[in-house]
Amino acid sequence: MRIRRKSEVEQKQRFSPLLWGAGLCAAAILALGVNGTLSQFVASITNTNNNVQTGGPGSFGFSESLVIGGTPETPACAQAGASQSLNCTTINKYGTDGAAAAPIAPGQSRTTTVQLTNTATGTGALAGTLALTVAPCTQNVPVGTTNPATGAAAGDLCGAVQVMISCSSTPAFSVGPVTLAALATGSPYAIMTAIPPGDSVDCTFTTTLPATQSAANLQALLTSQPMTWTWTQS
Amino acid sequence: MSRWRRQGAHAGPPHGGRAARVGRMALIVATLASTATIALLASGATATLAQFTASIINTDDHVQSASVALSESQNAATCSAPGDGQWHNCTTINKYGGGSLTPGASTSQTVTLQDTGTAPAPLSLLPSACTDSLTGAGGQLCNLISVTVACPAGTTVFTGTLNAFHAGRNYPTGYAVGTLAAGASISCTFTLTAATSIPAAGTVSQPISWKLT
Repeated sequence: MRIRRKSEVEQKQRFSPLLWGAGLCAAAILALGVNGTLSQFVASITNTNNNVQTGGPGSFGFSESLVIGGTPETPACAQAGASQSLNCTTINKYGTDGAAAAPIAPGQSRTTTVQLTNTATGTGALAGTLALTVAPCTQNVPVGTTNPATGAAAGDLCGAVQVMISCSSTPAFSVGPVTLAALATGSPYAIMTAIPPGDSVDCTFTTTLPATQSAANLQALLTSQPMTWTWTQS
Repeated sequence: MSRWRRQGAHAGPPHGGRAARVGRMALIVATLASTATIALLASGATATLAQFTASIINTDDHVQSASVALSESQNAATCSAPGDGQWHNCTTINKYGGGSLTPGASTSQTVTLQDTGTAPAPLSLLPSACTDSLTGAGGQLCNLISVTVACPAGTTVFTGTLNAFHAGRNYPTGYAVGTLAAGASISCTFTLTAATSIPAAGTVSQPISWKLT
């Protein structure tokens, strides 16, 4: 009888299916063990009601109103909501009760009060933080240039007129008296934080041309100083 | 064989060439950009950039300084002066008339003073020393002619001789005429009266200044 010795190739072919099968079985057993099918009892709870709701347009905002005799005028001069930047052009804080500029003489004063109100309403109404930013003071005739009204070089009215701001905030806010120029230098001013919805802060501006500021070159000048109320979510 | 080897003996490894430097730079830039992005996102998440804001801008905040200015007029002659607290003369208006005055006679001149500024202001009158052509300052003729200043008519500011007019001026205050409202006017009448006995020849002169403060 002739015995043929199997070649090396035939020996490798007979071994390969067994190794592959064993590997696959081991992998399957491992997988079932890992994912719990053969290892543990499992249970699950699925949450389907996880929502986020933002407040409505009325949930954030503030308004500015002129106060006459202790009563704020309606409608407000401006009411700004989230991301809005509106102009209030009818209240002169350096005038008398917000009136347009009238000639002020040495020793005279003007007083204007405005009310800032948190207008947020409804579910999710937000408190707000109030701040005031004052722009630099400018004159219709720059200092040192000839004032056509007097024929003389204009004086520094921005450095002569003084203003004091007092607010009914908690704690009370006050600045001044300082010159209009210095008021801008010290800006911005944090008036009050976390004003609740519906609450208000009254701010009174008292503007004075001191009696000592009687230089003739301060006559017939007009200053301008824009300012911005900023309302930020607390 | 690697690419570097294929380029020949002068080609170096990646960390030694220009490409390597560019690569390292790109890596640094990418790292910084990633860090900045993460910081920005983090700041937004912690509300630094994530708050509602609103603003109201006030553009009508003005102060207008008042002005004071004076004008003096008589017929077509007009003088103007600023309200600078200084005394001002008007050389074109003769408040004593310039004519001849006989013994016992009177003559009057009326001028109008107006506050042409935007604020009320007090008006003052300051006479200088009277001089005559006979004896000079404070001379005899200045004692023989009297003046009555009325602002307005019926309201006497001063009455007396020209020398007394100067003596009573209370320098530098002068005579108070009254307060003029912005734009308001007042008429002042100067009445000269000669004594019943005066020298036959001679002239008097007395500058008069106004001030609106």
